[in-house]
Amino acid sequence: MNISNPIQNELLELNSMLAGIPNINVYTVPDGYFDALLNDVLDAVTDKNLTKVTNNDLPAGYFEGLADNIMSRIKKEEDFGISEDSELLSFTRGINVYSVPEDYFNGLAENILLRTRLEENESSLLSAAHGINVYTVPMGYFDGLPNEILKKIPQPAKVVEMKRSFSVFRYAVAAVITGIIGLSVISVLNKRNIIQENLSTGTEMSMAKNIIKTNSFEQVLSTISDVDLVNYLEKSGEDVDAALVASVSDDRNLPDEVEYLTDDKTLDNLLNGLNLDRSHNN
Amino acid sequence: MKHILLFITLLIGSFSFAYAQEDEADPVKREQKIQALYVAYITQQLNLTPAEAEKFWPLHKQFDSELKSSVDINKPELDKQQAVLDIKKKYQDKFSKILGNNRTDDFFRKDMEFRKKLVDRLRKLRQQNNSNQRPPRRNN
Repeated sequence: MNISNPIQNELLELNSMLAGIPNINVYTVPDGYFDALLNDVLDAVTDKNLTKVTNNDLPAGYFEGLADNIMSRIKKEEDFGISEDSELLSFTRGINVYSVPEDYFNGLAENILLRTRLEENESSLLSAAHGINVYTVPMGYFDGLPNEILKKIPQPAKVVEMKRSFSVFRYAVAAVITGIIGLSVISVLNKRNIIQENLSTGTEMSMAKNIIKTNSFEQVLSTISDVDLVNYLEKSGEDVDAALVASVSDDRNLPDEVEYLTDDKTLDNLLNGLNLDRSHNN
Repeated sequence: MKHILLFITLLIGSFSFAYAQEDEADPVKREQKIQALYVAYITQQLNLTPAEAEKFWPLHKQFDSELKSSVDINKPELDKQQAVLDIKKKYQDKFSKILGNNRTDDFFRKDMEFRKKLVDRLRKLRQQNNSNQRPPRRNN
């Protein structure tokens, strides 16, 4: 593997001896090590000669109390801090070995200040530099500073006000379009109606011609139901019930005078036969 | 989503439109039959020539629609009759220009006769239906 050139160059600069060492793997593996490795491992695992740790070697109840044992040992060591066996150190238990000189803290602040001043005064180097402002500011720095700062602030974008749309106009346009659509729909429907009417008139005319041609007036009349007859008559403003009653007087099949005397219900039956609309009772 | 909604609305709209058309078909056809009978009857009774028919029936259509639109059940009876009479008088001159006075007179008469025929037919139908339904009379 070749070390890349920049790294090699850097190493040369740092230590030419190291750079001179060739990049050889000095570690070796015995021949056929990996070939036999699998079998060796398996043998070792299954080797019956190896001593096994059996449960019999352990004292009874070892694991049951193990956790508590460990905790109590730790607690003991915490309490004593040091081994029970050390007699030398046992008397030092719990004794604070550090001491502070008398009145140390009382005068501490003043001491510190004194020492600082002393050191300041003592140091000739520092005293020479005392009070000298070593920092410089370029000529005319502060004069042009406000302008420079302002220049650096980005100009706010030019606000172009959007033209406020006059909403009534929109509504007017919408109304006009709706009106146009509505009118066109109505006109289409009207045209449709007219076409239908014309169609229906045409149909009626052709049906009429057929009836005249085939002389089938009575035949066609007999195919019309009573409901349709009533609808047609009512549409043209005819009072159907009155017309029905009036038409009875023309009927040749009226009951005889004698029947009115013998049966009270003759008239009722006659009128019932006409199926008049009872809802007209006032 | 908007387009789907629009499409569905149009679809439903078109269905309802078509449905409306469908509904009219049968009763209209039946009414047309009766109207065709009327046209046939009047044409035959008045002996209308094709030329006269061409002028007469469009005018009659106007007359008919005016009569139908004047139908108002809330009016008093005499007012109703007066309204019908007024319309008939209004169209009498117009019909006379096509048919002449005598035939116009005839027309109004035949118009009533046709309605009478329908009423007679209706009466017979109802009597027939009743006699079919009524149980046989017991002679006591």
